[in-house]
Amino acid sequence: VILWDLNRRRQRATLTGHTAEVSGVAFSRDGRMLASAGDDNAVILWDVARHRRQADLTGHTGDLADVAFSPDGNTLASASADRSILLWSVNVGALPERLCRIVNRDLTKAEWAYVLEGQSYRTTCG
Amino acid sequence: VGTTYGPVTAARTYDAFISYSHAVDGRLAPALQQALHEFARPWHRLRALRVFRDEASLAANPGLWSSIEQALAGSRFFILLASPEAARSEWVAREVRYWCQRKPLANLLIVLTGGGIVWDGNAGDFDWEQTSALPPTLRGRFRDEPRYVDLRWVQTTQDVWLSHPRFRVSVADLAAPLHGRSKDELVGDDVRRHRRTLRLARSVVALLASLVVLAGFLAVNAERARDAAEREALVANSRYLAAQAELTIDSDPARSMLLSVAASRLKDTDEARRSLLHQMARRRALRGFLHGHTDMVFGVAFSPDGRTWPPAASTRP
Repeated sequence: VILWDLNRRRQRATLTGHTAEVSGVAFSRDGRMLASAGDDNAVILWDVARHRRQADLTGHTGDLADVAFSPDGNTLASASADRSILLWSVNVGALPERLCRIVNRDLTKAEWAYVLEGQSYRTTCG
Repeated sequence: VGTTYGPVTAARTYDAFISYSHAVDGRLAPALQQALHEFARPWHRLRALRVFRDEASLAANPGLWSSIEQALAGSRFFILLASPEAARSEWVAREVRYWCQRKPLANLLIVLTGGGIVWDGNAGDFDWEQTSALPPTLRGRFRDEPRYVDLRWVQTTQDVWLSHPRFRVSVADLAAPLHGRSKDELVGDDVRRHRRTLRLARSVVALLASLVVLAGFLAVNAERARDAAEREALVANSRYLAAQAELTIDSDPARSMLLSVAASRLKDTDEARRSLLHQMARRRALRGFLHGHTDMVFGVAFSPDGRTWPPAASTRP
C-alpha cells in the first residue's frame, strides 16, 4: 500500500505487511487510521501519521474483497470470499469499556499488586 | 592442506551460537543477540547470556572456519535463523551439520524469519516439498516436530526493541531453554526486576523532591524534572502492562484483557492501543465472563425461557 502526498504529488510512504495481493483500502473518517484488505485473509490497520502497522485483524478464511468504515468510525466491515462479512470494533477509545463489560469484573488487588507492586491500587473498570 | 579433525578445545564458552544468512538477517541477528544479552539480565551483570554471532561473512573469508568451529564447540545451544536464503547457504549448512554430528539435537533452536516449515506427522519428518526455510542437512534428524519461534512478522527496526510486546514474548520463548528455566519463571523474574527499577525511579523522585526543599532557587527546574520523571514512569508502566497482557493472552484471558485496559488507562501509548485492538481481534465471539464460583464448574444450562442463564447450580458432579 502506498500513501501519496497530493500536495507535493509524490509518495509519502509505502506500507508493507500483506503477504498477498491487496484488494481494498479505506480511511477512517478522522483520517488517522487506514484499513487494508488482502488475499492473505487478513485485514491490517495502519496508523496513517506514523506509517505504522497498528493491528492485524485475522479471522477470515478466504481472500478479502473490500473493507469499509461505518460513518461513525466505530466499526469496520470486511467482505471476504469465505462468504462472510465480519464487523470489527475499531474505536480504540471505546474498547476499554467494552473489554470491561466482557470480563465482567475488575482487576483484583492481588493481580494489581503482582504486576505493579507499590503503586497504590486504582480501579481499572470502576 | 589437510583439515585436522579431533577434539576442538573450546577457548571460550558461549550460551548460544547464532547461525544465519548475512544477506537477509544481517539486521535481525544482531538485534536478537542484543535482546538475549539484555532479557532477564541481573542488574549487576553485563549481560544475561553470552551469545556468539560471527560478524564477518564466512563466504568472504573461508579461513574463518576454524574459529567458527571453536565457537560451535564452546556453545551450549545452536540458534538457527531459518529462511530460504539460510537454507541455501553453504555456510549455514556447514554449521548445522557440525552441530548435528557432535552436539545434542535438542539444543538446536529454530527461529523462523522467512519461508515456511511444514511437519509431516505420518512421515515423522519435515514435508520437504513445502519446507523452504530449513537446510536439507536436517532431513531425517528430528523424530518429533521441533518447536520454533516465528519472527516472520518482524519488519521495522522498532519491531525488534524489547519494549515491543510481541518481540519480548518471542525473546522469552527463546531465552527460556538457554536459561534452563521455564518461560513463566523468566517472566516472573522480569516482573521482579521491573519492580526494582520502579523502586529506584521512586527514590529518584523522592531525591528530586527533597532537592526542591533544599534548594529553593532550583525549585522550578527540579519540579519540571520530577514531572518528567513521573510522566516517563507512566509511559514505562503502560508499555509494561501491555507486554504483560500480551504474555498472558492465552493462559489467563480475563486478566490479560484487564491488563490491556489498565495499560491504556495509565497512558494512551502505542503499545496500549495495539494491545486493545489485539484483544478485540482475538475475542470477537466472546460474549462475557460469569464469575462467582469458588470451585471447579462441571455443568452449564440455560433456563427454558432463556432469560436467566446460570451455570448449573452444583459445582460438584
